[in-house]
Amino acid sequence: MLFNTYIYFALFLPVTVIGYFLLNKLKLTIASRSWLVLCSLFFYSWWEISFLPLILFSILFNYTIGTALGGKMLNRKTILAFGIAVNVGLLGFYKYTDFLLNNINIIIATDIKPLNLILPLAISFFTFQQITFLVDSYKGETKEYNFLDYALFVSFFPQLIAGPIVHHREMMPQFKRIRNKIVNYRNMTAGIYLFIIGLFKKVIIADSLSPYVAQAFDRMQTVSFVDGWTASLAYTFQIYFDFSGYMDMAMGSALFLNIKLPINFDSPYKSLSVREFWRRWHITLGRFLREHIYIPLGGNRKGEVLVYANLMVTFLIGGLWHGAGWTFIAWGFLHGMAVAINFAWEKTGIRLNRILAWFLTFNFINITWVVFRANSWESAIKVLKGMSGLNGISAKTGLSDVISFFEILQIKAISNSSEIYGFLLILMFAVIFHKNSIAMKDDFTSSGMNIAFIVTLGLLAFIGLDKVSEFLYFNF
Amino acid sequence: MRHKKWFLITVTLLVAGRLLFLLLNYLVDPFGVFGTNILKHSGTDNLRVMKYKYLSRNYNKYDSYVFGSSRAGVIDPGMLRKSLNNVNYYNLCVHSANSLDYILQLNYLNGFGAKIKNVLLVIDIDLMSDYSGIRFGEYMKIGHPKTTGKNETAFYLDFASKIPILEISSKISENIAFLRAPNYFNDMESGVLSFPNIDNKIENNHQEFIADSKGLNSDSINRAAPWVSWSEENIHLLKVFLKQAKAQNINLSIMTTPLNYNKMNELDYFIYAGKLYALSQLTEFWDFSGYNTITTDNLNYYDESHFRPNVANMMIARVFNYSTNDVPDDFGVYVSNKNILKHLGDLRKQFKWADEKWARAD
Repeated sequence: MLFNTYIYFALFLPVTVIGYFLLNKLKLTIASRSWLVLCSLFFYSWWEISFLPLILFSILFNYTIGTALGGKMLNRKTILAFGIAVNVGLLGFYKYTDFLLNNINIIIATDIKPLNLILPLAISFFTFQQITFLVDSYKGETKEYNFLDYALFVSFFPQLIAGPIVHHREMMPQFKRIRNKIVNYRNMTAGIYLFIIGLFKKVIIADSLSPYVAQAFDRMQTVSFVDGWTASLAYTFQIYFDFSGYMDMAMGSALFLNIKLPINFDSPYKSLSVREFWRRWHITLGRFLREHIYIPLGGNRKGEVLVYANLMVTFLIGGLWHGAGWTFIAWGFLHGMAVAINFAWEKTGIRLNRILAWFLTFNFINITWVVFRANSWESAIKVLKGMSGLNGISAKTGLSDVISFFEILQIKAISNSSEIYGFLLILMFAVIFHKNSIAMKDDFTSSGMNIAFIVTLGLLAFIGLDKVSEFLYFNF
Repeated sequence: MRHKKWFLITVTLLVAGRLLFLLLNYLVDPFGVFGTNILKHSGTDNLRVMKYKYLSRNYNKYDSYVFGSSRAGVIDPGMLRKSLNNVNYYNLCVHSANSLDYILQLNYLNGFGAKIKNVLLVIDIDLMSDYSGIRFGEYMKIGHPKTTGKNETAFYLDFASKIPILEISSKISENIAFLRAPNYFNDMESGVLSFPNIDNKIENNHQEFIADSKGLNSDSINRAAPWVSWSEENIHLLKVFLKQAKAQNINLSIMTTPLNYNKMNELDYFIYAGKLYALSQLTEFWDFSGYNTITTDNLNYYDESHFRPNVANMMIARVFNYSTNDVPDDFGVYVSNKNILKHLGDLRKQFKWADEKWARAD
């Protein structure tokens, strides 16, 4: 089920929330948590019920392994290795088998048919979440959770599909807290406030940019300088507003149930370095990679050379996590290199001018998103070639063919395709100078102005809901 | 303000706003599916639904039908009545029709128990690639649930849940404009589409009209448009339709639409020829496409796809051999599997002529 559908926010969410608080009011706390698990599994199955057994197996398996690791068995290390291997194996099987087969076919000229496996929804997220649980169980950092709480921690619907990648330490206590079991209108207002902002970001901003991106990356034969930069910037903003919009909706949904999800975005495009970017972008993924790859590899404790090697390995895995393709690996490699250079630069003690630092960082991120977005090397090279000016400054036909959502809305100021530039400029201004939605929520006051603001955003988003589209991060 | 009050006011306003959109959508009825009929004229009418509803009540007024897309919308049953005696044609054109629509239409007419003596089938060769389904915003192309087998309640709920702002505002402005000079007229009695305002513009100052029309003045060759070959599915569906029509003893006349040269300039010869060849293996037909006296004169067109009623009248005259004096000799070729190769050879020459006349851009 998608957050940006009526079936979710007009039916599923209210029924789930009302049912949860009703059961709690009747002091049926186990039933209330069971209700949330059932609702979450229903939410998951709505998309494709055939993967329900997989997530159930994954929950049961990891709970069993986690419980065993929390005990006093002698071979705990082997059990941990086994647990991680099964998790990574499942993820690898579904996500990377065809990629591997294609590469084997190329390298040794075989003709092994791909399995054409469909990636089970959310597998990348619930796998990482449960690996954290296993490692912490091994370290003795988990308490004795019961199965119901564990199942709720993994399947909790607001974070199930595309994160944030939550930690049992930040979720389990919230499920048990007594005061979280009664309706809290402060959280409800914050929830609806965040949800509507997220819906607007997804439906009006991200989805409006999508046709320009698809036109340049997937349809146009050659891309001019102007179209190349327009498309790359459009994607830079599309992925941000899509993913952060999703996060706002996830956090908003959880707040209805008095659950606070960890922040996943902190104005990443304000970053003055690539290292800072990774402290602001997909924060919970960065935390996972740092805790479970970078630090176990030795982090920055084993000498300077190994720091760089560890950084590269971490980012290559981060790239590969996003998708089974060489472009994702290349994207991870480029970011790994940039963070390594950043690391070395910081050691020199020389500080760049803030504007220059922002300019270099933003452009690096913008250019590397091209590699990330492209479905193939040809597509990436086509857009990068355009951006370099090798195909001329502007073309007779190109992005001007795109019929934007603004045309559908009849917002004449933006519907003229050449005025996409004005739209991008506004978005640039918003991501650099405006407060992000979390900061806006923190400063929220229950005023009439805020009612007008949210109702306006909500009604505009409803207009855009006619074309329901998936979130980009569902693919990863 | 207390949080509870803020929350309840916000939710109430959001729900009320959404319900207002729903009411507006219902009252304006931009696709004509609810039959509200407060505003009568719309360029976004869903003809599949409206004509189905109309015929379910009035099928006994007709015994013959025109099947085709909006391009066939200007074919006048009155002209057909003149050409053929004792026939009452209904123009059953719907937007972007192809083989699947022909079968659906035949089936629901049969379902009503309608008499079907004649069918004039107007095929858009260039649109015969696949049954493309419905893209975002194309609610004017969704079939009536009784013809598609979809749940009727779900169908109306789906339309009610939309907020088609563009279509709503265009229907309102269309109806205001209609008081002065109608842009678009959909006559449910005959099924004919007409464009009186554009006709006036063309007749008053056709040069200005053509200059303003992007599609009619490109005057270049760009055969890179991704026209793919006629899909197996469409061929199969057309075969099914032809077999069914034969089984019902329906007198079938088939013709292709005359595309404006600007549209022809987008077609790849071999793909286009492949489609004509495939059609010739199924049935005999009148081919009005290609580069000829009519298709190379912009005066005969509303845009690069849609021809004007004078062209439709010439097509009828040619097909039914009625008063053909005004029809240019090069307009309309009767094609069968015996002469298809010669016809394709002639078309090849026309393509070459066009390539030289409008220098290739690809």
